[in-house]
Amino acid sequence: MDNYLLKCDNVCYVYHTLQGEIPAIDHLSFAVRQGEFVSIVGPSGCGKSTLLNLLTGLLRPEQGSIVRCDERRNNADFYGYMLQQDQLFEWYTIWENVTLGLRINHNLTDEKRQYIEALLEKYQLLSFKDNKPSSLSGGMRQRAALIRTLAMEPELLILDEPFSALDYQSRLSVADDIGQIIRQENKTAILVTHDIGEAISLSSRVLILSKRPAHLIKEVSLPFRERNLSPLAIRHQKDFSDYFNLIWKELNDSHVSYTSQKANDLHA
Amino acid sequence: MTLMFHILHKKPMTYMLKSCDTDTDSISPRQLEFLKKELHTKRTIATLRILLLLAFLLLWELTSKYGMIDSFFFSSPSKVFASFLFSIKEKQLFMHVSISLLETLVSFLLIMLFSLLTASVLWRFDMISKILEPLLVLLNSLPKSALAPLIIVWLGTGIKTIVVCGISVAIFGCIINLYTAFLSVDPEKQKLITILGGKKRHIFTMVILPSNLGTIVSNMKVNIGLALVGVMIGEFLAAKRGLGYLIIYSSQVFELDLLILCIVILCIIAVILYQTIHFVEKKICA
Repeated sequence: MDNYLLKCDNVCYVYHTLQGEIPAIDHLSFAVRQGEFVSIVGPSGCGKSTLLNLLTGLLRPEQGSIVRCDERRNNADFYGYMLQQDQLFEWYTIWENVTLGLRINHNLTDEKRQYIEALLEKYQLLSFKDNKPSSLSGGMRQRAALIRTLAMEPELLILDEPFSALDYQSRLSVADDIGQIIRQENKTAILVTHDIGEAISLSSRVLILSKRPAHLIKEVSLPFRERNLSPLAIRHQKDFSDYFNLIWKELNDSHVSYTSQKANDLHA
Repeated sequence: MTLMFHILHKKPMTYMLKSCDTDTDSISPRQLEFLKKELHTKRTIATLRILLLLAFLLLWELTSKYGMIDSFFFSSPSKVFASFLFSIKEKQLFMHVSISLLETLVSFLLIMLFSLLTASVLWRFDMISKILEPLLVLLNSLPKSALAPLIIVWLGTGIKTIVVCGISVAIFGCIINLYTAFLSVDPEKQKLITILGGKKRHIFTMVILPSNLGTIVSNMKVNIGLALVGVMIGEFLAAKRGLGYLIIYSSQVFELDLLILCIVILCIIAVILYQTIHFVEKKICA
């Protein structure tokens, strides 16, 4: 593969419980190249969170391998992880929140300070630096959470349904915001979501996963990101709905074929 | 107007700021009426409280004076007050009060210190907490006053015994409360620290402790009261000094004025201790 940042090769993962084994991921292979924005969609409970925990090293694959282009950097440096909720700590100010990672690693140099201040200024949060998170709106909180992630200067951003806690209205605008910031900062990103529209409007490639145990059903490359449009504008493109239907059909078919197969099994 | 805000709200500053946005003079007549009504209600409640207390004292005084209740058994406010003046001179009342107070404060501090430490260790080492769980449940549900005679036999009849009695009443419950609170902290917040490269100690100092500050303070409120209970139990059984000793002594010699005086002082101590922690809580949360 050419200049990939991350490569998953035949990854399998099984949960072990007292009741038995639950296969979560089944021979999954894909790669992410520098500068790409890859979305992973799949039915709920298909093992997306498991996949993210595997990628970031919180879990270890039972089989197969996950290779990073730069093995020298440790996990905390390489990945920038955005969680489902912004998880800003109420007991810290915005500044203390966005510098959390650097403070943990005792890495808050003057250079980093300037970089973070520049980010805060660029995304209209500098004047809220000394405020507590509770005084920020939902969108501002998400931006602060993103800056906390960017402060670590990660190679690869991982977004775990970062907008799922927001209402529909702010969800669109925050996704637009975050999408543009990621593009401006020229970061590589993996987005996990069950919102097909969100996946299409943000990414350059969509990976469709099956029900559990998750394996790759289809990969769809999207042309929109090259057109240099904002995620909101992408939603108004003519071929947006074509891609939407394509992905929706794939997701549904896999569900139907899975259940009909199960029915066949029962008959036999 | 400013004065009214100060009286009405416990956090005058924030309300002042909010009202500044809309210019204080431009408060509508209806709003003013509302504020006046609120103020009136507050004053009425305060006045009625004081009147209730006075009425109770007056009733007590008069019924005992005119023989409707036996003043030997039920005493009276004036006799309690006389006993107060007498005890200061003749019975070293302040010495007894300060001994009890000291024992309570020492027990309280040790309860908080030990239970914070133990809860932290239990949180840090999963295996230890799993092994010790039945023991903690057992010790928590045991009536602690049953331990007091044993403690006296082991440690004698000094301040040490009383303090240990005070600790024993509250510590196991406090450990369990804090440990449970530590466990219920949002796992996603802990995951965030791990993702950012933090270790268990970072999770503890940056998430577990700050997010549980409220729980710790509310446990302090409960424990200061429990420490006082424990100290009283200890003093009943084994002390030569302290309010608990004075209560037992006065009941044995039928000095019921002194007994009631001691109970009144205990009430006052309990309120002062509780309010002190309440004050600290407000300082922390502000």
